[in-house]
Amino acid sequence: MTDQEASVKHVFQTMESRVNAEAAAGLTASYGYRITGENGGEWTVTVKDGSVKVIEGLHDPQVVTTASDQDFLALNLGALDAMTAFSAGRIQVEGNMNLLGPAARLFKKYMPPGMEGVEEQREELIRLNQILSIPQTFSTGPIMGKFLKGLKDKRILANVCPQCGRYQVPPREVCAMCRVRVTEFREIGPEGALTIADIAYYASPDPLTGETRETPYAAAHFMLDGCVGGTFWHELNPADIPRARPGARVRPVWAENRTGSINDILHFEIVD
Amino acid sequence: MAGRVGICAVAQTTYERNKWHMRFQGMALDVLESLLEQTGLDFEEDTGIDTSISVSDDVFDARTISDNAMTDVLGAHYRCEEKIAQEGLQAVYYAAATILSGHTDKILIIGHCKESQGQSRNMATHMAFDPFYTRPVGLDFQAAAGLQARAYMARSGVTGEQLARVVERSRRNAQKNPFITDLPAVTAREVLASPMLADPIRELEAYPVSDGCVGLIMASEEVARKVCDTPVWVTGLGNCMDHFFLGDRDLTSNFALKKAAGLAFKRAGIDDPKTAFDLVELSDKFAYQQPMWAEGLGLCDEGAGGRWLDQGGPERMRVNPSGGQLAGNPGILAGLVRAAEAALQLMGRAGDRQVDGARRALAHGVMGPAGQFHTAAILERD
Amino acid sequence: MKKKNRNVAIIGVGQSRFSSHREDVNQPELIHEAVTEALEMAGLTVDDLDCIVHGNMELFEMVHQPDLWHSLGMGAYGKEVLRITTGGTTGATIAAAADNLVASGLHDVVVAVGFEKLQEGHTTGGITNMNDPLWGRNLQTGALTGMQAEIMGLEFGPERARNAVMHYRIIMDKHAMLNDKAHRRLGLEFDQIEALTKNSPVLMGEMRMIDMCSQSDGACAVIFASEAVAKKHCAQPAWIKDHITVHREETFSIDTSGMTTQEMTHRYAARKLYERNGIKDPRREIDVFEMYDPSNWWGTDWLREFLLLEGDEHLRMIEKHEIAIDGSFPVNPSGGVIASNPIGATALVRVGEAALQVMGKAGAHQVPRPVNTALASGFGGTLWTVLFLLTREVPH
Repeated sequence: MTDQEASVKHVFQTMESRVNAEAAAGLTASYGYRITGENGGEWTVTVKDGSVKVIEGLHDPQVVTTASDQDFLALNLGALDAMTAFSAGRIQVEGNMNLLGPAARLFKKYMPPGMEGVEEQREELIRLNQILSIPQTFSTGPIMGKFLKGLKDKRILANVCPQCGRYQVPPREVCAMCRVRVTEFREIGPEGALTIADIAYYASPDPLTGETRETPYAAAHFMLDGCVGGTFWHELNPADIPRARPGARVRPVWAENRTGSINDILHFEIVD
Repeated sequence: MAGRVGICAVAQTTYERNKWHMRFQGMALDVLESLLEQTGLDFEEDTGIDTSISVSDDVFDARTISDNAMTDVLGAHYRCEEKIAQEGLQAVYYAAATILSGHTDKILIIGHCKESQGQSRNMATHMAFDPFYTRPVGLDFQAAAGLQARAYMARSGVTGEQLARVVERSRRNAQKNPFITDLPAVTAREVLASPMLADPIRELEAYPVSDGCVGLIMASEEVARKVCDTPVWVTGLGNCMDHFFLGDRDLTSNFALKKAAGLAFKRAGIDDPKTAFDLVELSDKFAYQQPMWAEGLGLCDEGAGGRWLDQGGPERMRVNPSGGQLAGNPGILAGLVRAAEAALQLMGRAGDRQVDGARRALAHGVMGPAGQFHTAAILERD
Repeated sequence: MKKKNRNVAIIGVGQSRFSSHREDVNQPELIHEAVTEALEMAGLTVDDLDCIVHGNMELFEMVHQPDLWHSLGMGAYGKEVLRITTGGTTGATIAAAADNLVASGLHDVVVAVGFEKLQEGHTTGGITNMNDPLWGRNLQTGALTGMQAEIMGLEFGPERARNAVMHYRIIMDKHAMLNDKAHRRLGLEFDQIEALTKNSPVLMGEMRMIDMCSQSDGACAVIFASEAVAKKHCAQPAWIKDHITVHREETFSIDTSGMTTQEMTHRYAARKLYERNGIKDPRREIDVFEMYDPSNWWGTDWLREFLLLEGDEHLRMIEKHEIAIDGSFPVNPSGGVIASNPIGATALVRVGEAALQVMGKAGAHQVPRPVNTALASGFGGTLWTVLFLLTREVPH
């Protein structure tokens, strides 16, 4: 391999000069690369205070990407699509996957030796970045309003269909099956049993705030005492995920400061 | 149009500036219960209502799949529900087509919107413009209307004083409309003194921010006659899309409106719109739109909107006895409310605002910047 | 019960290239690609269009009433237009609308245009916004859930379940490799199952990245025509025999008491559709099925629902590769939704691809047997279904 050809080594050598300042701003992370094959190697890229440093070797990176030298070069030359390679198992990622998103536009496009000037001509596609948001004031209406007020008072309220007798929690204006208005409220729980938990290992960032939930978290269904005909969908204490079994007894953990919101229940925890 | 489709029930909530105490589901349920009571229909499998058409908008509701919240209330659990994500009169258009297709013989229509939910409806309509050119320039539907109003007034000679009287009349009519509860009457002088919103449009010339819900039941002739004493037939329908970029259009030409109305008239067998209707409910979001859409609908000659106003045209032709959209209905529902009001008139249920002996009415809806898209519907009773 | 006013057929299908980012086009331009291709196949021009039906999901691209801007790419100037949206099912809903509009007699030629440019927004965030702002939004992560994998693991044992869905996944990819419009074409082989599973990161529960559909940019246009126009312009139109839409309430609640209907809308829709069209043995009477499969777990499970099967019959069909393009019940010869998912268009692509099969125009991914009856499904919202039946013979 001569110095005039594109190479994995050249990709890393040119990284610091290809940094996109806006993408680096506000990002603190370290990325490791384990490139296998004859022309591979190991590198760590650290981003901090708007500056990017690339050093050889793996130095405690938060996330490590492994790929063959051929695939890594193809990726950087635009000949291989990252998602495709990832899904096909040709790229492996260990560690904090969530850090990869913010790094997507960290570097300007890689140009093989001697072609650096071509870059400006190539980058002619207009891309406009914008966040659009309109502040909202949501009404609860009397049905949801009563439920939320109940939470403020540490009570969980369901409403009961006058026709089929099923409970709905949170309460709805109608019973969808019987197609009748529902007006009678009853208190349920607050304790109950876990029916099933859905454990999330990947949480996408909130598009408006950029914040990402800590993972793993568990959205779960709880059958609360006294409730008939349907579960309550809320969150299980992440610490209880290893103990989550269908039928496990649970109780709500209430927030100190309750405002009449679904988050007045922080989560449910397993009762010993 | 082959076959007949009828409106057999009409229901509305009141339209208010801020229905803070109600949620969409609650408003829709009130409307639904009234519609079912009027017709005696239910949702039984194979015999009852199996199709509903909802009307709402994701941006105004701040909710992806805004009809998601409504399925249970609309009785659409294990039934068909489709959302018209466009101006509400389109729901009448689509329901008529679906019934004429033979796919079903009765359809429930319910539309909802709370313009008060978002900080500003102009922020919502601003998002209808393309991100690269028309958005950065700062356009929203109100600003676009200002541009059209200026061009129309220059061409037709319609004056601010004439438009102030349009508003005055709208408010006067609205006093007789039990569904408009918190809109005071105003004088032309007050209109002219109100602050400028988007030159030449003044604050009192714009329809007020509104929340509300409206519904209809439409059916094939056979079903309509069974469930309603005074079915109102939808005999003509038409809509039309103009260019998107304002610079590609002649803002005063009423291109899309003329085509939409023309299609509706043709399908209903109407020759002369000046004499064909006992009343007209048109969507005037801003005062200038009353004479301008009147020209496009053929209620008066082209360019003669001002003269039509001066000669008492709106009163003579019974334009907007409900108060029209100027009296305040959510923008995306306005055309559906117009159809609902027109149907109530033909059913003889319009109370203090009733036009006696009304047999044929024209309903109109509009969407997009400076009336890019129009819908017209013709309603008739036996 | 229902008597269609007049026959309707699909005579043209157009698709843009589906990709993770079509940065070379803006929204109307992307639509234009699909519309011109559809017109070309139908042998028509823009002037022949009577009405355009448009659908997509506003909050993905953050454009309000987007049909206004997209009119540029749809040929909508001076024409009648309708805009209908129902979440993921949108594409199939606009197909149903186009069918209704032509059948009504109001129009002779209607084009349905489905579209999404997901890279211009945040897809998972957009989907999370479908939830009630007062309640479920904090819990949902887009369309991801591990519940289906959990339930199937409990019913069939986790190894057999995982093995079956991986066979499903790889068959879908092999189909995608035959479709040059498809977004993700990975070149997977069956001997990779263990490695793929192990290396694919878990997203929720046992649902891994390899199991999930893509997020794609793309547009699809399908031309519906009256019998007279179809017979004049198309050697083998795809006739719309019937369609059914079944929605359900927004809440997800598990009920083991038996009080509530737990039948999936998929099964309910299939039952009704087959009943009213005299289909007694769908597995034999249907020649190809374009199913809206957002993941291989759902694709596998819903095969049982749509074919009204019980037990593990659906797993055996997959294990024996009966769902392969040359199998006895081909599923998604196009590669399906796992390969390409431009949400507003996706369900329309299912109808369009089923039509291509009936028309004999699916090229390299045409199933190698006569296609007399095709089934296409749309999915979205809170487990909603739209189901389409297309035929080679003119319906009577």
